[in-house]
Amino acid sequence: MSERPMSIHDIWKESGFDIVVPTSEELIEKDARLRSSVSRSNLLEYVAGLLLFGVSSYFAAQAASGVALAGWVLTMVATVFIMTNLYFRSKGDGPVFGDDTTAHYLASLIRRRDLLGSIWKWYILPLVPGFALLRIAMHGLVSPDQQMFHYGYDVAALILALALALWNHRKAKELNAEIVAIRHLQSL
Amino acid sequence: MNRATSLRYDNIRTEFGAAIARIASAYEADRSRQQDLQQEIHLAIWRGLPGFREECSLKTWVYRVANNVAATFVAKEMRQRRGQLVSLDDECVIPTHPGHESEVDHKLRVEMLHTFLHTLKLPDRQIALLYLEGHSASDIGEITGLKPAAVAMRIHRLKTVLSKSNTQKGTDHV
Repeated sequence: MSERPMSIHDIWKESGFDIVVPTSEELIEKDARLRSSVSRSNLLEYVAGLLLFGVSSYFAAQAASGVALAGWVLTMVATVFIMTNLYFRSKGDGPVFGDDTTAHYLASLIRRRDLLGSIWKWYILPLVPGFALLRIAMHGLVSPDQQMFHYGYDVAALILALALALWNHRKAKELNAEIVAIRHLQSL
Repeated sequence: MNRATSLRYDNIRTEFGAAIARIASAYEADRSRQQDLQQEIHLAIWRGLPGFREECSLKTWVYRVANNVAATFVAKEMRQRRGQLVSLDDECVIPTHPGHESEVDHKLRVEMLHTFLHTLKLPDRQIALLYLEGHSASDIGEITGLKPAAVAMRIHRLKTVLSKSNTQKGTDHV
């Protein structure tokens, strides 16, 4: 008598896998590790912000012109604005993993698309006025033969910002196409 | 975590430990990262269990959590490979191994299934995985949030791909 052939489900289920079954103690330890690594990465952002604020206030105190002073003060204001934003954004609830898988994936795509669309508004744009004033102040300080070099620097920074914006736009467009495809699948 | 929840987690660990390992392998190709992913899934279940309100069956909830954690775990890698991933609507095939077409052993079949799963875009990968796990179209619908008709259509496409491949040789049905 021949054996009954295996179904594809049996083959899948009977294949060898390295099963990891953590104990409650291991989970408690991993949970604590994960929480501390999240707070460490947040802390790093705040330290960087504090550093920028400190450097800006030091140079503001020694500013040689009104334009430079305004530039440094605006940079300090922008740093406070960015840090406040970071704080409130990181305070939100963590991911909910009990949602159905399509809703969860769709939400993650929308979150990423919106982040790509908004990050420049609250992370980069606030710094622009201060940096622009500082560049203007710097142009007033350099000798005429060095002006070309400084203009070149400004143009390069502008091109870099434009390239980043284009890259963000392209990624957001790709994400949007995927979002539309998943919404279509949900509507079937 | 109270004693009842702790006991419930112990039961989940026993009942779904193997399924969680298979889910991890369907998302992550690297063996050591598969183990990290399994730990992350167990951690998410353990953390989420006190908030589980029985709005669906425990099995559905565990599969949802496991798939969602796995999708988050591989999100960056999937973004980098976006252009290489295919949908069941595309002309996708399960890669065959030359010289083994006539008799493909189980290990090789599973390897081919893994390679195939790793090339699928996310919603299709989840449906294919849940189908291989032996869930019905309505169960898959509940886990994925898709309507049973949409799930049935994807499964039909999946079966067509499977029937064209040599993963099916020596098996009794798709």
